[in-house]
Parts: sequence; structure tokens; C-alpha cells
Amino acid sequence: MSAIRIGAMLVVALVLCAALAPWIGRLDPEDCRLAAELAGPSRLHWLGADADGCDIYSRIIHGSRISLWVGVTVVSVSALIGTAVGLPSGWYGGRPDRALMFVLECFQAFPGILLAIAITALSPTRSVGLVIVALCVSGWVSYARLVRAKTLELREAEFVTAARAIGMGPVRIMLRQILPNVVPLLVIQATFGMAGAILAEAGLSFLGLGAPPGVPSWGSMLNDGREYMLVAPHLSVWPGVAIMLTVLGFNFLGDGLRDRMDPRTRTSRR
Amino acid sequence: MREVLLRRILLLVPLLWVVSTAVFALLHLIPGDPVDFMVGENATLDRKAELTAAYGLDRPLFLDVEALGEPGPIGGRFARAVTDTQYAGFYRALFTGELRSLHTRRSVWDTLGDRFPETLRLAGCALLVSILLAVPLGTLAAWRRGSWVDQASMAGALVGVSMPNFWLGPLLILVFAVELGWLPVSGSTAPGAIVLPAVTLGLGMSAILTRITRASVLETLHADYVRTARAKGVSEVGALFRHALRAALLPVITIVGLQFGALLTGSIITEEIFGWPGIGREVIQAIRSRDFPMVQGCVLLIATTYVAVNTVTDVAYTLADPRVRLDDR
Repeated sequence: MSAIRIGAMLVVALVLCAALAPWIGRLDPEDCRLAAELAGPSRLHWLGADADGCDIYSRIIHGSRISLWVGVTVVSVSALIGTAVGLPSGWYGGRPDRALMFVLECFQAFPGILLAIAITALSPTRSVGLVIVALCVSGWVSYARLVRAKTLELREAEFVTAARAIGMGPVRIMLRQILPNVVPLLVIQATFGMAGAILAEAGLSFLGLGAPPGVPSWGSMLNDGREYMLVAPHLSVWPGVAIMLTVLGFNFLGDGLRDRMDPRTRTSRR
Repeated sequence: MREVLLRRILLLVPLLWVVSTAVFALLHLIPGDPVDFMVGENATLDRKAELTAAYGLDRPLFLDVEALGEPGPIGGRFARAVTDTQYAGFYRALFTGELRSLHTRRSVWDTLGDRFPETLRLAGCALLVSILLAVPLGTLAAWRRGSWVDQASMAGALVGVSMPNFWLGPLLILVFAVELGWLPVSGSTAPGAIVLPAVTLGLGMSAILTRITRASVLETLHADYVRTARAKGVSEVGALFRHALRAALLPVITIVGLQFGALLTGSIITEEIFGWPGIGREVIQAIRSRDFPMVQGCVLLIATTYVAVNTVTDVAYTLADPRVRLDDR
């Protein structure tokens, strides 16, 4: 089976989990019974229960909503900002373009996760929205770079010269001629971006800087499970499996898409 | 060429200036009173006053407008207006080592001087692990292209990239430290203590390196000079090791450099999991205990290292391959 197919299957499974969570989640993830504390797998709790007696299976199913929500918002906002900045910068060049390049350099001086840690840690409250903002702050940079570089390259292309010759305005050329050629690259980058954002959210929640307590985020579940590693390893195993399969799905999909759209970078079969 | 390199290196100056200004501004971006943030609203007034004085938080941020209005020559007034501010005080504290931890009162640079080598040691070992794993595996995969070795190592590489280190770490602890008892759970002093964190940190990178190695070796295996070597009667193994592999490793080395920054970032979470006394755990602890000067020092050091590594890689890349144009990326 090809990478693209495995990836698509995993991603579809994630979307289905998120969409159907109230029906396939079985138990309410917020309704926890202390009596079930650290219970192993049973007919009621398929994957066991955590330290507060919450059902792990339903928390994982509901957690897919958080991951998907963070991934989709971070990627779309970042891609939008990156395109809005990168397109005119690459097209017009000159001083504004140099200024943008310097701004990008400054943002890239901070490793993305460090910036996100700093932003979330400084806030007095924890929320998923803050995580999204924190990840967008460093996220848009790579999209801006990508769009700018491609625009710079396409600016000299013959079809752009032709469009200019027939009197097309710069804005229309950017949107009608250049943007459609950038979109495939954006889609690939966004697919990997989904994996990155989901991983980053889980990492922040793992550090206790992401989702507030009680919200079923996979990263928080891993964090909660650390204390009980010795007595109840199932607390840590399943959320980790969920994160890995999700990230793997997007990575496979991105890989497959890249191979299909740009045969030159093909790694699977040369 | 020389001009491009020079410009890249000179760029470091404004870059570090912006970075340090951002680190200074961090404290003032927090909603509410910075002193309350650091010691809590319920701290004694004495403690608050002490902190306010220590950080000059009662001084103007960037420019002392009052000093500008005082009598005297304009140059002197201006100098006073600029130097007697929080911003200037921040740089003074940075360069004189007077930036001190809120809790231990120890100079931040002294603490970081202890922590940073530990992080470098961990990152270095992780690098070693990933190279030792990736180069043989990637070469084998390319040599036996399409075989089960190839497919397994490529699938394994994708799994490796997708494996979060904050999950892999605890799993490794569970298996090798708790169940088998071969290696210590955490810390850095016991023999073998570095193995688990280094593997945790290195595995993700080895996944990337395996793919690069495979692609690179595949390319050189089909190069003309390797075919010539084969035609001259060099054995398959000889062609692989003496001719193909040697040329193939150059891009691999570049990726190692490019990924070293990622390795530093990854060490933040890995150190936290294994209780490794490096700069990553320090920054997390400082954030948790709201030790703001410590956070500033850590962030500044990590960002500076990151920028330095990226610049060195860029420069090395340009020197190795003159076709690369730095200014156009």
C-alpha cells in the first residue's frame, strides 16, 4: 500500500473520530467516577480509567477534536498570513522585501517551541486558544519564506510576462497567475504543518502549558500519566499511540503528496 | 562570495540586538505588574520594593524624558536620559553578570555555565546515536533498493519522525529502567545515565538522516564515476564504500548541521523528562518558579546558540557549494 493511502486513511480516521465523538465516545469524558481510579481495561472502560476515574477511551476520542482544531486553525492562520506577506514581498522585492527577510530571520532566531513555551508560560491562564496563538506566532514564518521564494522564481516566468504584456495589473497577476502555482506547495507544507502543530500542542500540554486541566488533550493525558508510570502504564501508552498515529498519518500524506506533485524530490522510488 | 559571507556574519549584530530587546520586553508584555508576576501579589511590601529597586522597575523603560528637560549641555542630558533606564540597565546586568536568579541570588551566567555543557554533551551524544544508526541503515537501504530492508527502514524512518520524544522517553524508561533495570531512570551522574536521553533525542534525527543518506547514496550509486569504477573491475562493495559512499556523505553532513538547532530545541522536553541538568530543564523550572531573570538568561543563550549554529551551517554550506546563494533564500 502506498504512503499516500495509509496517510489518507489515518487522517480520515482522525476526522471521523472528531466528528463522531459524542456517538462513538461512549462515556462522557468529563463524567469521572473516583471508584474507577486507575482501573484496567474492562467492558465499561475499554482502555481503562485514569487517576480521576475518567474513561481513557472516551477521552482519547474526544481529544481528537482538540488536536484537529489546533492543527486546522494554526495551519490555516499561518498559511494565510504567510501568503499575504510573502506574495507581495516576492513580487515587489526591494527594501520592503529585505525588511521582511530580516523580520523572518528575527523570528527564526527563536526555536519555535521555545517561543510557544515563553508565550504560554507568561499567561496567567491556560487555554487552547492561547496555544493556537502561540503556535501561529512562529508558524507563519515558514509559509512566508516558501511563498516569497516561489513568487520570486515565478516573477520571471514567461506566462507572467505574457500576463503583463496583455495589461494585467500586479494584484491580479499575483492572485490569478502566481498564487495557483504556489498552492500545491502550500498544501504539502500545510500537511506537514498539521503534524507539527498537533505535536507542538501535545508537547505544550505535556509540559502543563497547553490545555487547561480537565480538557481531554492527549498531551495533558500523557502528563497526568507520568506520575503513575509504574502502577498504571496504560495511562501513558494510549494517548501516545493516538498522537503517533495522527502525526504519522499527516507525515505519510505529506510525503505521498510531495512525491506526486514534485517527482524530483521523490524518495520512495527513484 | 566573500561579500555574501561577510554580510551574513554582520547580520548577526542586528539580529542579536533584536533578540535581546525581545527578551527584555518579555517582562513587560505580561499583563499586570511584573513584580506581582515574579513574587506573587501576597509578597511583603519590603520584598516588592526590593525587587523594584533591584530591577530599576521604577525607572523609565527606554527614555528618561525628565532628564532631557534638565539644564546642562544637550549631549550630557541625552546620555543621562538614555543610560538611566530599564533598557540600559538590562544590558548592564547582562554584560557585568549582575543578572541574578530571583531565588538563589546566583549570577545567571554562572548557573548557565554549569548547565550549558551538559546540554551540549547530551546533544552531542544524541547526534552520535543518530549518525551511527542512520548512515549504515540508509546506505544499506540504498544498496538493496526495493528489498525488505529498504522498505522496513523507510517505514521505520517515518515512524521515528512521528514519535513524540515526550512519549518515547517515558516508554524507554518503563522498559529499560523499570522493567529490565539496565539503566538509571534519571539524573546524569550514574554510569549509562546518558544512554536513554541520548537515544530519545537522537531517534527523531536519525529518522531524517536515514532518508537523506539513502537518497544521497542512491544518487551517487548511479553516477558516471561509480559506473566507471565498476567497469574497471572494482567489486560491488568497493564501489559502494570507496566511491559512492564517500561522495554521498557531504549532503548528510549539511543536514546534520541544519538539524543541530532542532536537537537543541528537542533537548528542552527530553531534559525535563529525564531530569537531565541542562539548560532545557533549567528554562522549564525557571518558568514554573517565575524566576524571570533566569528565564531571560536561558532564552537569550538558547536563541544565541541557535542563531550561531544556523549561521555557521549557512557559511559552511556556501563554502562547500558555491552554487548556493544565501541572499535569495
